Amino acid sequence: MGMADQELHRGLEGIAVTETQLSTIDGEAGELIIRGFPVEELAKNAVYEESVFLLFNDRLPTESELESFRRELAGHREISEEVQQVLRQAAREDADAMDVLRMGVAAANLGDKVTDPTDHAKRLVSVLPTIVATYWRYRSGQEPVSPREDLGHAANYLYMLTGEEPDPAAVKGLETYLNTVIDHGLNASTFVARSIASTESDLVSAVTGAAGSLKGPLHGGAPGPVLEMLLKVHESGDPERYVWKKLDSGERVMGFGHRVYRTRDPRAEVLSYAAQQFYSDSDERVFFETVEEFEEIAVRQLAEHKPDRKLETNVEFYTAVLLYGVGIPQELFTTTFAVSRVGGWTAHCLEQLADNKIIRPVSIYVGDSDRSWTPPDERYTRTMND
Amino acid sequence: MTVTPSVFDPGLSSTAVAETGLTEIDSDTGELRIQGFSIEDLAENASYEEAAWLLFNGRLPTDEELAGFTNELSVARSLTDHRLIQAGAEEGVPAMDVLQMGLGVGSLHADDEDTLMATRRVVAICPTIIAAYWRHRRGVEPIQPRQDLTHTANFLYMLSGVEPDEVIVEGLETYLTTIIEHGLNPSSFAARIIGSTGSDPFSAATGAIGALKGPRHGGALKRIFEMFATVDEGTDPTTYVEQRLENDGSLVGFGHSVYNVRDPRANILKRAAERVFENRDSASFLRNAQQLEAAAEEYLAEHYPEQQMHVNVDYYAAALLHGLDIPLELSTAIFALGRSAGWMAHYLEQLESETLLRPRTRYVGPEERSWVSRSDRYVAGDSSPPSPSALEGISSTLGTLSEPTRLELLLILYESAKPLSYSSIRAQSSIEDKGRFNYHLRKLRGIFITNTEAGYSLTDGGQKVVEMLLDDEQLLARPVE
Repeated sequence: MGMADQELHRGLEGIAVTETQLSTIDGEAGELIIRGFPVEELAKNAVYEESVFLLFNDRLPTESELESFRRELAGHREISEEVQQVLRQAAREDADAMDVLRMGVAAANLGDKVTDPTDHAKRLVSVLPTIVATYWRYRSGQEPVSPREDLGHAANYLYMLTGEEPDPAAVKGLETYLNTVIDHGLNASTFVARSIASTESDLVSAVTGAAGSLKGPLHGGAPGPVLEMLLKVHESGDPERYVWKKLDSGERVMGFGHRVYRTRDPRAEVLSYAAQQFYSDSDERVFFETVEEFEEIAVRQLAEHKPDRKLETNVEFYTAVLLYGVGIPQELFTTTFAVSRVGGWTAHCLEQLADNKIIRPVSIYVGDSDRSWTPPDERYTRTMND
Repeated sequence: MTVTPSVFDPGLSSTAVAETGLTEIDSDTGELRIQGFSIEDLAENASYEEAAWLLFNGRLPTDEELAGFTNELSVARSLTDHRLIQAGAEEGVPAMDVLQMGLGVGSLHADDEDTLMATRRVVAICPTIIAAYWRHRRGVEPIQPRQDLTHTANFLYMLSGVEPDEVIVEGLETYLTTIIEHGLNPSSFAARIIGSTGSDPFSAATGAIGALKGPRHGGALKRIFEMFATVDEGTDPTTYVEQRLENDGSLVGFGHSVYNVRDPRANILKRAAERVFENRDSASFLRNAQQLEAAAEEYLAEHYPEQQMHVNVDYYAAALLHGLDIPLELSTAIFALGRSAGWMAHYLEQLESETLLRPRTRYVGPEERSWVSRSDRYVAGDSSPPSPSALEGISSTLGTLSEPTRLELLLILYESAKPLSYSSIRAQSSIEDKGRFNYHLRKLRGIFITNTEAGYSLTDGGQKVVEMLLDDEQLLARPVE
């Protein structure tokens, strides 16, 4: 095929597969720009629906546009009876939340017939919180709570999880999180979504694929274990010793370092500030004090341990702290990431479709080249003679 | 400001992303080898289970191994929950969407299984989902799978409820084995990206199904069948071919993105179709397809001799599936059923390589914007204009133009067909003092003038400003009031 002497780009590192106007990362400077806005600006100022509008339309909405966009999204939140049954069954079997998300998304079109890709995108953004919350209610032995159209995206998600109208501080904290992780270049899940969209398939398929890849341990973004660590450290009351023991036995300290950012992940900065705001007025203030102490100690010890690499807190670290604070159960950390990132996934699909070139890389064959058929009774394998 | 990736390859069409031991394709000779075996060899000799085992293990199974694997698949067939499938069928959702939903929930009711078992289950349940869907579509109860039948025979049995004829089983098995794997197409690639994160087989399979659903990848069978039906109804093949090719130069079922010669799978499926249609009343259907091919080959050889357009795998697949009485609505789903083992083999290969696929993008969006409060956002056509305070920024931007020497600079750049160097503008400008020249130039940069490697030129905004100053290519005689 003439591919024999081709260079292999395992992992595709350093290969640009498409142009995008959605977001860009400057790993050296520690900057994340979304549609021209530094992530700090979005996190601080926007409601989640506003960030989604920005991703879809390349500009901020006016007040009336935002109002009607919010109403439109709120009208797409319901899931069908069959999907509810599947979620109940999954909860009964203790299925992992990410498996459940894949199941729910794959069936997201049942009972909500939309065909236009932009409508699909809105439907997907709207329905993810309902899938996650419905599963969680069943999982914790309660009946699901129907979405409320009068609540904003973030508030309604919290409402469906607890059945109670959420505290404004918690809504604000969650909103900041949802804005902060909405898009981040072409990570593996977004790449799956774009690749599927490039066959001109539908957005439900693309997002199902993306949700499926987010589950993988190599994808990154698993803040659950970070929380466990912090709670343990808080209980022990001795962060210094914890970090020292980890480093001494050659282990990693979770929540530090990122494969893209050489300096501090700008999202960690934003989430750290949001956590600070949230905890300043919360009963769990003491926990946050431990977290800050732990961060300081870990950064210092890591610097002594690995002077050539600057290791700072990554996005998982303060995600764990913030989501725990606003009341998201640890089991739902990754699915809550998906609840935000679906805005980015769908925006990438719409961008791919607007100027589509099918994504179809090549492979290099390294197997046997010429074998011929042998009938079963003449096939010999060593194990048979053992 | 952003680190530029070393290579920009839109669509990755010339980037090798993985090493594979599964499939070798020679585009020029039209050879397709799976794990080293020619596709002709496999299609003639292998059962579907045997070909799948080969993909998973890299060699042919012994009798005992094959029996074990066949059993593994057959016990993994049953589904306990048909709710989504039934709801999908009743809503008239296409088969591929329901297959996606069915695989999406495939991990339910399966006791904590390991990854390998889950790949087997993906292959095992595709036929059950498709058959159940089809039964629900027609308002009849699904049929429980039978463990004593082979993968292919059981599928046909679940569709119809009667034990299928040997010739039919053979025909379908040849199809499934022939298409079981074909290198790194978009659906296999989707399975691989998902596998690259370490995710599970059901996620990889639903992603692959999603990619296959796209008309750019799967879905040609239906259009080919419609073409055959037109010819079968009496349209002369030669006339049909001429009309189509004179229309837009394309003919469905012809041409392949990989092969420069005839797709080797086309011959295999053609022969399989011949066996199925033999002595049948409907044999004319296949004869018409063959006549259509001959007519097209003749026309293409005469009018496009340098182009290599031949029938692809879908062409005779459409004829074969028709001969097997497979409903047209199921054709893409049945392709998926066949390909599922290939997807799982790709998934496992990628998983074992432990390499995350994370490419880059080239950012071409806006570089820097600042936040505007909601009440101050104005969109043309929107009823409420922003407050004067919100217009201060733009007003000061326009203010930079109220300086004749700056307008002169804009006009100098407007006159030039190509970007100008600093010294060239300097020479043409009437500003003598270098400091003042630099000051005015700097004031215009960004919004009205841009500076690239090629030199200085007007931005779109700068261009518009100059056009505003001109009336029929002449400067406005008096100030705008």
